Amino acid sequence: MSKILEVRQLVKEFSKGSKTIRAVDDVSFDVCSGECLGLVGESGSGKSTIAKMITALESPDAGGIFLDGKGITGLKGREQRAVYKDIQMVFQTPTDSFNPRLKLGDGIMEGMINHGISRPEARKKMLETLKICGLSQEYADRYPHQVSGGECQRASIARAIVVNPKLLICDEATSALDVTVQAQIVELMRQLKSENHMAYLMICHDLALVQQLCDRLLVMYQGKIVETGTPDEIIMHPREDYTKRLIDSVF
Amino acid sequence: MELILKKIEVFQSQKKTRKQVQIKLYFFLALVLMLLLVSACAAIIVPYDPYAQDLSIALQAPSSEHLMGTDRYGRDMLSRVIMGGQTTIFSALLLVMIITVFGTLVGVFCGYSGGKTDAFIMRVSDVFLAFPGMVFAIAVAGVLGGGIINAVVALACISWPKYSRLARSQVLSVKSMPYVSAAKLSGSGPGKVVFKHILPNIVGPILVTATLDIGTMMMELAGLSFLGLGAMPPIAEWGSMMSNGRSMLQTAPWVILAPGLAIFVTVMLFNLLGDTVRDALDPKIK
Repeated sequence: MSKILEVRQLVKEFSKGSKTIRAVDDVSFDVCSGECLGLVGESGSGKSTIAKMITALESPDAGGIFLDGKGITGLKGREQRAVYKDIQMVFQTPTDSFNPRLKLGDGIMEGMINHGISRPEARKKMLETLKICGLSQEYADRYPHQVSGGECQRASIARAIVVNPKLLICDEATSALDVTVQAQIVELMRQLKSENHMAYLMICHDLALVQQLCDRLLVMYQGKIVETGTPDEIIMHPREDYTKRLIDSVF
Repeated sequence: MELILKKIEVFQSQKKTRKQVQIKLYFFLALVLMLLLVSACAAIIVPYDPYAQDLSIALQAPSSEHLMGTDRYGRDMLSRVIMGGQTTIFSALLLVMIITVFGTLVGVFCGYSGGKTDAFIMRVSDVFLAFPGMVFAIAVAGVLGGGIINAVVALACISWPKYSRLARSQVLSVKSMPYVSAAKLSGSGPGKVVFKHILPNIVGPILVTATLDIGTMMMELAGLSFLGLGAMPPIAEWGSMMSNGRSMLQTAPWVILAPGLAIFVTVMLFNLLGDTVRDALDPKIK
């Protein structure tokens, strides 16, 4: 399998007063095409910071990120925006991830219009994608506060996949939703996974969910990757102490 | 339980509904527009020439002929109050517009870019905020000389930092919202992010502050004029009219009461409009 994303020796530090905290400490991993890679760990273990660095919302202090072999760190303006055609993200809080003054449809179309697709064409594609994500056409003309969290997360997924990215990052995409809605969203993701050849980077702290969806798992603890393997391997035979504790806390 | 339900019901009935707020908003807007229209057409609707002096009818009490009486030069007070509204209201509006636009743009720029430029501009605005406003305005107006335009400039100099601080703090809180990140991920440049995603979401509090400020600014302009640093005589302006009449408060109170009442009513009207605009922009009202 070809590697879509390569992350090499990534480091990010935050300074808090005189103390410096290594949020991400020398992290390296690959994501292959069509693969679903899970990134698990407790809050503050640096999972979201990695997602932010891949999407250039934060800049790394050291290390490199490569998309299809090309370095994508430190890009500016037009070049950076071109990368967003290939990398998309679904956020943790669905309602906050849509501009409250814009209709859902306009939020979904924004990316396509920015990448030079004409408005009527973008609208057609947007409606198609909404349907794939299980929302009817009316949702395009609703505002974020008029729909439920689950519906909003569907729209958010639609916004992410509408530009046909190569890599979709889900940053705790289901943790703000209640259990039944969570199951629906997971079902949608599973369905999308079987239909498209997108690679997924699932950031999650819910081991059960990761087990259902992911092909491979990275366990993070205090900014470092402490264990890798298939979900079954890790959950049944954890090697690291921390992983054992993490699993014990769930089951 | 029943009592609680009853209380909730009472509470809900007290809560303003979207429709009530809208009616109120239209009502105050209509009144303000009427006021603006009267001021704009002042030259046509005044019953007497507000500048024509006739000492034979000086200091007459309000009568059917002169509804608000006359001042010490025999000028009709009603005509002068209407004419004065033009100067006072429109200079206050101009002033508020200048400081809102300028202050907001500076604040948005600072909040969005951050770093050293932000720190520098904010320290500059701290310097402006450190002075008591009116004292600083008197100093600026003193340096620039009298005249209504100079008074506007003086007040603009000291009032913009309020808006830049407000806009900056709003931008800082909105900047980290996921939808701003999502907009960046959609490939929107900084201009689009600021004007399409950030500004529309912070404009509410700024608009409310601006509307409430119209009254305050009107008072400050009138204050400067009262001190002789704003509108120059014989121009009809409420502050300077009050200043001219203050020595006759006991003998001819209408000379000071007429413009005073005008300021009172106008400031209150703009404040009520500001309150209603705030309610109307409140997303929690259904």
